[in-house]
Formats: sequence, C-alpha cells, structure tokens
Amino acid sequence: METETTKITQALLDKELIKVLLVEDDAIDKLIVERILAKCFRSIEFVTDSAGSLSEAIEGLNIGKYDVVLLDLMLPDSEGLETVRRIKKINSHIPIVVLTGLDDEQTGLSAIKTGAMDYLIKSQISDNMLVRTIRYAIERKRMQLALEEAHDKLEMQVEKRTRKLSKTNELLKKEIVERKKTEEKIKEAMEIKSQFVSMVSHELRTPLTALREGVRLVLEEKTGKINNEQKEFLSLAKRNTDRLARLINDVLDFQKLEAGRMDFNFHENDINKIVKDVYDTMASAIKCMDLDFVLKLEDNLPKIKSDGDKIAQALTNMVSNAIKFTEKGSITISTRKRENVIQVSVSDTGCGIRKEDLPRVFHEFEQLDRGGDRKTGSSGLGLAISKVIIEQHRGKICVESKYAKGSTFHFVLPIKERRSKERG
Amino acid sequence: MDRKNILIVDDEKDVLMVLEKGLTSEGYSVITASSGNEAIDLAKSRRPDIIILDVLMPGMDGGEVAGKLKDIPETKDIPVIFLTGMLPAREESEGFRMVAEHVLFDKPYEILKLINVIENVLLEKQISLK
Repeated sequence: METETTKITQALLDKELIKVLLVEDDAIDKLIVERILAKCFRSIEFVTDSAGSLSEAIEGLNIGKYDVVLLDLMLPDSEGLETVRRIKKINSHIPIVVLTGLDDEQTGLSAIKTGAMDYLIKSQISDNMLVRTIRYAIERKRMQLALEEAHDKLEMQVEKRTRKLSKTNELLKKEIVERKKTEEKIKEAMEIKSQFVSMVSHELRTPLTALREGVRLVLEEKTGKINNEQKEFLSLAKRNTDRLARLINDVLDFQKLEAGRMDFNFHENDINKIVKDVYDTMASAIKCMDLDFVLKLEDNLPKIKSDGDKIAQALTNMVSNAIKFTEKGSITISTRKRENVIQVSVSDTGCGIRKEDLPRVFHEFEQLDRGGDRKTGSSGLGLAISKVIIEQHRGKICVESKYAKGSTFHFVLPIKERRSKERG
Repeated sequence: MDRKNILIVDDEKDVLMVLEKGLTSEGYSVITASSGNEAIDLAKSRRPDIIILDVLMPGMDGGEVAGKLKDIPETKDIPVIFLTGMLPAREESEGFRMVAEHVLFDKPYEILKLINVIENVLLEKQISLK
C-alpha cells in the first residue's frame, strides 16, 4: 500500500509510479520478482503488493487500484488459462502479464490469446525485461481500451444512421408503391381514352360517309338538275362535311400516332419529289387566296429512308397552318442539305407567333389566337401530328417566328451514313 | 302581321348562310353580321326585333356584345338569344352575366326549334310592353 514516503519520494524525484499486483504462490519465484521490482530505477518506481492465490488476488483487485497484474498461472485455487479469464472477469481494464516456466512458452502464447498482454519466462527475467514488459503491457492495454471505446462510439453512430436510413427506406418503399399504383391508373385511363376516341371517331365516320355521298350525288346532278341556290347550299354542306371528316381523321391519326399504333412503311425516298407533290396539290387553293406560293428545291439531295405518305402529311399540315395564319404575302417551301441532314422549311409572311406562345405551337389541341375575323376551324392537331411523324423518322421539328412579320417552320431528317469503304 | 326582323351574328359565314335561309323561309326578315362591331352598328341603325348572337367569336365575344348593347339606349331593350357549342362553364364574360335572363341555345341546333324560342321571346316582350 502506498505510503506517504513513497508519494513524497516520487514527487521529489519525478519518477513514474507503477502499482503492481504480484500473484505468485511459489516463495522463491516471488522473491526473485519482488527483488527486481524493489530496485531503484532511474525513471520508474514500483510499488508491489503480493497475493498467493487467486482469491487473494481478487480481493486485492477489489480493494486497491493497480496498474498491472503479474500473474503466475499455477495457483493453489486456479490453474492455467482459467486464471487469466477469471482475473479479466473481475477487472477487464487491467493489463495482465503472465509468468511462465521454462518449457511453458506455449502457455504464454495461449495466455496472450486469452487476454494477457504479455508473458515472461520466470528464470529469464532481467531487470530490463521486467520493466519494459510491464511498461509495454500498460501502454498496449491503454491503446486497446482506447480502440475499443472508439469502436463502440462508431458502432453507435452506425446504428443510429442505419436506423435513420431504414426509416427513410421504408418511407421510400411506400412511396414507390403509391406511385406505381398511380402509374397503373394513368395507364388505364389513357387506354380507356384511346379506346373511347377510336370508337367515337369510327362511329362518326359511318353517318358522315352517307351524308357526304348523299350531298355529292345531288350536287353532281346525278339525281336531276339543280338550280344555283341549291348548288350554293349543297356546296356549303359539302364544305362542312369535308371539314368534319378532316377533324375526325386528325383526331384518329393523332390517337394512333400517340399510341404508337400507326404503321410506317419506310422506303428510300427522294424528298424533293414528295415536297413537289405537296406543292402541286396545294398550289391552286393558295393561288385562289391571293398568296404567292414559292418552291425552292436544292438539287441532288440524297435519298432518305422514310414513309413518303407520312412526310407528305406532315408537310401538308405545316403548309395548311401557314395558310391559316397568312392573309397576304407569300408562302415558301424550300429544301436543302446540311451536314448529315436534309432540311425542309415552310416560310410565311403571316401574323407570326408571340415569343410566349412558341412553346405551345406543337402541342395538341392548342390554337393560337389570331385576332381578326376568322376562327381556325380546325382541330389544333395538325402540327402535333407533324411533330410525331418527324420524330418517328428520328428527325426534329422547330419554328422561328417574328410576331406580325411571319414564321418559318423547319424539320430535318437524318441522312443515313453509308457504311464506308473501310469494309473494302 | 309585320315581318319580324332578326339580326344574326356569327363569324362563320356558312352558319350565317343556313340560318338566314332557314329563317327567311319561315317568314322572318334577316340581317347578318359577322363580328361584334358590325353587330352593334347594325343593331343601332336597323333596330331588329331580336338578336341571335354566337357566343364564341374572335375579338369581342357574344357576352361582351350583349353587354355593350345594353348600354346603348336604342338597343338596350332588344332581346338577345345566345348560341353556343360549348359547355356553360366556359362562358364567363361580364356581358354574359348581365344578360343572363336571355336564352342559351346549344349547338348543333335545329332551326325549327330555334324559331320556337324566337317566338316565345318575342311574345314575352310583347306582353311586358303592354
């Protein structure tokens, strides 16, 4: 037990004080170790208590505070590694150095595995060795404890985080389920809409056909001569049934395109030919409206894999659109090759499109106000249809416009690159 | 009995044509206008007995025209019948609400049915004048 003297001595000499519990029952072995420990070392002072049995040792550990335990494994009330374990059970923080016999190196190593910091062979203890071993044992134990503490802290943090993540995960899972349900509902709704539109449009076509043909027969005087007033009203009827037919077709086409059910027949086509055909078809109507209709084709354009009828449809819609919005001036269709695309443009000198309206131009059912006296009389689907057609050809469609000056719509179609001569 | 004068207003020329023919063949006298401004001018100068007004027109819509007519002494007492092809919820201009007591008629309509309504409105007006 520590005395006042020792305290003072230590303080005066500024030596490190280490309290040792020596657990050894063999008198001679005990003496040897005690003698070394009692020596006067330069920087260290040992204060030693002895215990002759495990129970004495345990008692000592419960009463006093020790920095290290020197433990002989062969005790009257305990043997072998069990001794180490039992000391550890009482106090897991104190470093243990095991004292072994000459041919007991194996035990020493096993003791370390069981939790001792080190072992010393009794017959080979030198001053140096003892001091060093004790010092290292204490240091190693300190580091071990620090490591365990850090580890525990880390474990706690990880657990906290994991719990948080689990919660978030659960919430996300729930949300995914909700969203999937909504997705399903939307898909269903779109299917129903599709079917409805198809059905209604088809139903409308039947009476429309009868109506159209009935009117045509009388108008073309197949049922007898008609006077001018009759002709006037029958023409009115024909105009409006045509309009109705176009509206229904537009809606059906758009449905099909949207649902990906439109059949495309791709062939190598000369775009200039398609453009010229559209031009010829629409030329008379446009000239009647007092507008100039100009065609500018660049020569020698490469052929493009495309569905000719659909491209014609897309272009026709664009020209119709130009007509609707142009009161005077001209409409020009032009083609040219640019890098690896062919560009087709429709320009007009119409009322143009406001900047804020530009994004809506290709949306379905959107109709932009033109002011003036004419309603558009159309479905608002023409350009939306054109867009889908062009995109199905892996092309792009866009518009430039200056309000009150005019607009130009462009679409480009990619030219397939020829597999090159590398193969040669 | 005098022929009754009806002013029809619609921006669609074809609609004006059939309405005009449909009404004149039933004995009415018809004048037509294809815009709000034209309608107001004709209403002032010709003082029709009734005005049939298309609701959805570019520029001034039917409701606005009716509102303006209410403000003009010469035209404020002329009854107005609205024609619309759209659901009521979408028509919300000032003038519309002002003349709410007048009849709305849905497109597509039959001219004979329209004539029924015209007769009823004219009758009401006669009664209220007495």
